[in-house]
Amino acid sequence: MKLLLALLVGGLFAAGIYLIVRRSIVKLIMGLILLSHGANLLIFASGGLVRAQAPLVEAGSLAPEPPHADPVPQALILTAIVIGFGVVAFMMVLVSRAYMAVGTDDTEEFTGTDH
Amino acid sequence: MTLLIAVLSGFVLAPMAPVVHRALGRHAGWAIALLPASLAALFLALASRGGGAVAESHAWMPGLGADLDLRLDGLSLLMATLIAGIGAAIFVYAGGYLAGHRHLGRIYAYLLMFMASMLGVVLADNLIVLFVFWELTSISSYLLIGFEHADAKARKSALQALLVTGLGGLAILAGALMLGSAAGDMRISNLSLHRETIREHALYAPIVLLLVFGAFTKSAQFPFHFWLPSAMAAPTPVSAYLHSSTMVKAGIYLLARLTPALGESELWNGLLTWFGAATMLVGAWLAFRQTVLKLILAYSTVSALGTIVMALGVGTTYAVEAAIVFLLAHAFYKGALFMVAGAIDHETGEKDVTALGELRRSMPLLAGASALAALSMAGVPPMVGFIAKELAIKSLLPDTDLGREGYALAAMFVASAALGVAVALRVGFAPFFGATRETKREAHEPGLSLLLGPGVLALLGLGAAVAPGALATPLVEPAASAALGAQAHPHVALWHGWNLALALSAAAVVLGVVLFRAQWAIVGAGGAASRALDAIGPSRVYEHVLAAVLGIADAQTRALQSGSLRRYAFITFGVIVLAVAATFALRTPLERLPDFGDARPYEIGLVFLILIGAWFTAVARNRLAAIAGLGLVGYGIAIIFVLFGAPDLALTQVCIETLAVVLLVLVFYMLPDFRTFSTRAQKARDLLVALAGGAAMAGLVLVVADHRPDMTVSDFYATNSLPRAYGRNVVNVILVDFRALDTLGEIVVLVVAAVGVYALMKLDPTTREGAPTPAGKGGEG
Amino acid sequence: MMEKIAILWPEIAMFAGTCVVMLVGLSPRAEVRRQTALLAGVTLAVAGLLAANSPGVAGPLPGMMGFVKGLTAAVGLMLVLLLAGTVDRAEERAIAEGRTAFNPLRSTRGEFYSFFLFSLTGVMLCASAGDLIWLFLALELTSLPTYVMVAMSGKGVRLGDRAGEAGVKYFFLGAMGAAVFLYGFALLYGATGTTRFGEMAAFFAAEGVGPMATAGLLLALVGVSFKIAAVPMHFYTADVYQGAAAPVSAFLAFAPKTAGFVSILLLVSAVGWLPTGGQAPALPGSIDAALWLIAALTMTVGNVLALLQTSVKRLLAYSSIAHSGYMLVGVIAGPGDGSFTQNGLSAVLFYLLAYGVTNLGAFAVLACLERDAESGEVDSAADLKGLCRTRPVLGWTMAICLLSLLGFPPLLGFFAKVPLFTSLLGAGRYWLLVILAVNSAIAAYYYLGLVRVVMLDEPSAESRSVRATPFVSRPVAAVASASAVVLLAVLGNGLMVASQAAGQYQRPAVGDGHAARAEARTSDDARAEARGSDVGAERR
Repeated sequence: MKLLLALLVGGLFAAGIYLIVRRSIVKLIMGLILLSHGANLLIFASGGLVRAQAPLVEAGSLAPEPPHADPVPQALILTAIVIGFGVVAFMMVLVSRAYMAVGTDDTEEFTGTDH
Repeated sequence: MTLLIAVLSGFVLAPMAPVVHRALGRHAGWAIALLPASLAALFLALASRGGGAVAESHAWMPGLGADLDLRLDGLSLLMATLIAGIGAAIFVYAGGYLAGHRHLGRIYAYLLMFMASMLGVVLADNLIVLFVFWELTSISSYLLIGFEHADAKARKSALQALLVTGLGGLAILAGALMLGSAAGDMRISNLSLHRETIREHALYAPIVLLLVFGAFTKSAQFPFHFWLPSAMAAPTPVSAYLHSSTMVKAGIYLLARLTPALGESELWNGLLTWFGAATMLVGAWLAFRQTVLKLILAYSTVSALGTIVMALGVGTTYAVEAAIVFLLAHAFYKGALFMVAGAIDHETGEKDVTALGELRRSMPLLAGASALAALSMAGVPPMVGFIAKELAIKSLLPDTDLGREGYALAAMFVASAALGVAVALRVGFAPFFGATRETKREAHEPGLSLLLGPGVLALLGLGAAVAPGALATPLVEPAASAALGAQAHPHVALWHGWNLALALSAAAVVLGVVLFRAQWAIVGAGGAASRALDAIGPSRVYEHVLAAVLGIADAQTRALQSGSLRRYAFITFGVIVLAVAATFALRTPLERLPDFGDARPYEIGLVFLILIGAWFTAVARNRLAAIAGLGLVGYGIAIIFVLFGAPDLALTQVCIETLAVVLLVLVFYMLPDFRTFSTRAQKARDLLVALAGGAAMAGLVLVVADHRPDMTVSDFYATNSLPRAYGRNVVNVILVDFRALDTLGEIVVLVVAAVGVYALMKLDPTTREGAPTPAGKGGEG
Repeated sequence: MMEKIAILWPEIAMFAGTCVVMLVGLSPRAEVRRQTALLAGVTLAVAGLLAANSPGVAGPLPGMMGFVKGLTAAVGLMLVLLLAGTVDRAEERAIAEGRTAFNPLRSTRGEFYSFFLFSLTGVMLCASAGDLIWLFLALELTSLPTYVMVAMSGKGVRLGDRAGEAGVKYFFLGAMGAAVFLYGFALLYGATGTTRFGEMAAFFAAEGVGPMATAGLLLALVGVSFKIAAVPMHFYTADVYQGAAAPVSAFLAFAPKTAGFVSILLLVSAVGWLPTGGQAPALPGSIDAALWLIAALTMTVGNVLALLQTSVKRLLAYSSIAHSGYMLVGVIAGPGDGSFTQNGLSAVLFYLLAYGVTNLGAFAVLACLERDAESGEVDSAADLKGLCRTRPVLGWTMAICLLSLLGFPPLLGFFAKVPLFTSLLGAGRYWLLVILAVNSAIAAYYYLGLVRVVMLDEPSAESRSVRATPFVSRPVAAVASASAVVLLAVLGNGLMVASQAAGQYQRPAVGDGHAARAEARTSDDARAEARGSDVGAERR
């Protein structure tokens, strides 16, 4: 399973990078979304992988039955997902506004004035 | 408190100088000169009280080891008296020379600032405080050199001088801090107590190199001498003050000051001796070649400074005494000659010696002062310059402590002295006694303010030699003692008996007269060689280095700051991949090759699906396909969360994914469809980078999943969830109870994002610049 | 929980103030709206007072929090003065002249100031952060508002081309940076099993820093390098500083940078400076090497890029990169023996203060000058020719601030740079010292070049046509900055003492490792151990 997850994160990351180095500004957003998926899965993996046992306390017991999934990374990922969404929403608005102001979606034309 | 007031008074008066100038008009120079004059008197009075050095200390920044320690010992006394005394002459002179100049008030202010900084340098007894004043002299001289704003050359010279001395200043700072940390003491007068520790310290060589480098740049030693002649763009009173008698001596002062702590090592003595000797010769030759009065004087100053540094480098008692006397003599005659040159320029409008002659008829008093000063410079009795020269030769001759190299140094000294004699005749006599020449303006005797300075200084040069007990010995003896760290007994007297030194001194004079006669022939003959040398001279090196650095900057700007977002992203990812790869390649070989092991078929299928979704997103040619691929990835990951015990995550993921897809569709509606921007080759390159990044991350996951973290924190939450927080879903409990504050923070961040979205929506992007706005009615908008 | 709230009073005050500001900014009455900035200032003052009384916190850097919060509030107050008129200028004029009615959908003042306060709250929260999640949130809170502020600082209510473009670039790289340090945080958690810095420090003290933690820390550092504008995420700086209005650029050079350095100090101090045989304490090899590389590249790249700039804002932007490099040097040097001259950490904090105050002055001068209300601020160096003649106050302010940025004595920047030098010297890092010195020399070229333009050059027809912006508080901010640069240098001992106390580093003893974690553990140890090994078994 480890290898499988590694492949997955690697694949997401690769696709994300590929999209980010495109010139279309929309693809940048998509790349960023894929990157954050990759990050979430990495956090997930850092807690160790446990099949099917959610960290829930069954009725009648005081603590979740071992083995259960690590709850801390899950809390972290929840935070990350929500913040990630906020960021993506924000970005979409920013991008659409910038598109209207600048008149292009090609990031190569977003050139400052370096000299 | 006395010394502090003495130092600060200049700074306090400086802002008021323009006011004084406005109130008193052309008498302002005389009025302002009262301050330096009384300061000079104060220093002499303090010293004459006897009882060793006057010291005081004021708390300033103890944390930094920087306290306002001030100390007036012999060396400081000599310097401070010169600075204040010549300063007084300069203020009077500037009042006459620059009368009617629209910014004279400001020049007074800068000169006062400079004088105060210079006093700070020579009175400071703390390395950091010394550096502070040191840099203040740089900046105030920068303001003074660049004063002729309209003249682009003046501004360029000012910048060059500041860059060179600023670089030196930086070296001084580094050296001073190292010295302070090596000695464990920032107080300069205590440094010689730690002499052995410093000498043994691993940083001794860098300390010496840095400090010597800094002093050399300030005192215009070869090969950093080129800034001094360019600084002659400054008005003459400034040149006379800064570039002959005071600022350029700061480096020498520092070297003399640190000799007791750092001196007497091969490195120190070697550096000072040979660079000093080289400067002495190079300066003398360059002065000999010039025809512009101020440039001749500038180069001969370089030569004199080299002589003093060389004598300090030789380091024997005799040599140090010679250095001090030479310093005093030079301050007198060079200050006078500069002021004479300025007065000539002021009265005749001529700057070139070849255009001047027979001025003694129209300006006899000035001619007298000039002749006296030139005699001193040439080292002819009964002037103090003669004594200085005698002492210098004597200190080099092998019957003292120097061995064979003394002959070489003495020969170099005599050669430069001969050139010096020729130069002295050229600047001091030729304009007044040579053949008559037409000048731009009809020459006549300058006013008192222009005569006073050169006259007094020239007479001092005479008086110091004729009656050494009155001024010379009381100043020179304690100064030499301080520089030696031991009692000195300099023989400031005109007559030392018949000896080799006297013969060499006479030979130099004779040779000098010969050189003077044949000057233009020699310069013509040596001209080609000199020009060839100029091409590789330090000034050119400075320009080349500057050009090279700017070239690098240009290339770097083009390469790095293309303004291209994707290149920025590229570099960033490259660094990340490298960092991750390097960490793991160096430190963890994977223990065993991973395999799919316990992966179940449906898991493999799911991962495969997600990857296809990612692939689809990456290569999609239209927007909807890309969004579909993205959705596949998001929902697929949600299923993974379900499979591995994270139902809460799965729920959140599904909600967010749905929202995101909706938003994307909405936004895409406003944006143009995908276009093909990149070529095949670019895509291939991007793909390569992407795959490398993916591989690095995949490796990272393998390592992470291999690792068994300490589970105590998780266990704490798991076991306390129900008993303490009364919640059965541990993840939820963590979010809303154990780490409720984090969640609050998360909500705040979301709120900010939401408000941000709202604020961005409010911005009206449809109106381009210049276009009329609906609300502004075409006005402001 | 309660003790956490006790240290959060300044943030709570800021948050409350933010809400009020947002509402007041939307008031239909102009005289009420005009109070927005005043209220923001009051909020900051209150937060500053609360910060002055905040208790110390546990962890490797117990004193840092109060100092950073006080600094944030103080510089924030100066920024409030400077930000006057950045948004809604045309709109307010139109309303005052009766050309248009107040429309809450066109006024952005309230949001602008509340974003400003939100971002500063984020900086304060960074300083209060005790764990990774908190730090992540605080960093996001610092950055998110800045993206909007950049976009908003276009002309009037419109989204200017430059500002919009800059906003996108800035945001995009920022989001990437955030993702990268999230990766890093994940690895750190994976390596140590905790998100708290204190526990992490104990873990590292007990078990050393493994490759995974190293990779995590490296990624986190790369991610944070965006906030401080350091290599390899410095690219946006010039475009953004130039694209945004000068007051916003001044803000960007302070808030995210301070937050970034606070994060770096927190993260790095969790790993700790360990005694190395006979030498001064140093960070573990690979972290040290990475920071060394980042610091050296950052100063060099920043300074070299600044050399050719004719745009003052770009010059200041690149030099801001270089200053981050200087400060990283202090992090590398480490806590030394704790005295002011030897402690690189207090040197960093003091430098943050000096840089924040000084840089603000330089930007403030730019903000005080404009060609006309339409084309906006002055930016080219040619526009500043002879400023000391045409507007002596602004000219001297600029000159003083530039000289201080260069580290010229006896100005504040000098006294900030000296401890960096001495701490390096104490730590025996001579090569870095050489690089720092060479860079200071390079910096001299462009700073002095600009000083020359301001002080010595003849005013040109072009530079004479520049006029002053009609906001009184902007020159006040400029003068306040310049006087602080001069006065704090002369009377700065108190601040040095404060930053020395703030930079005290306490290394957890090796034995503490288990004790620290035991605090978090209330159930019986045996059970937890047993479960731990079960989980491990399953994972295998």
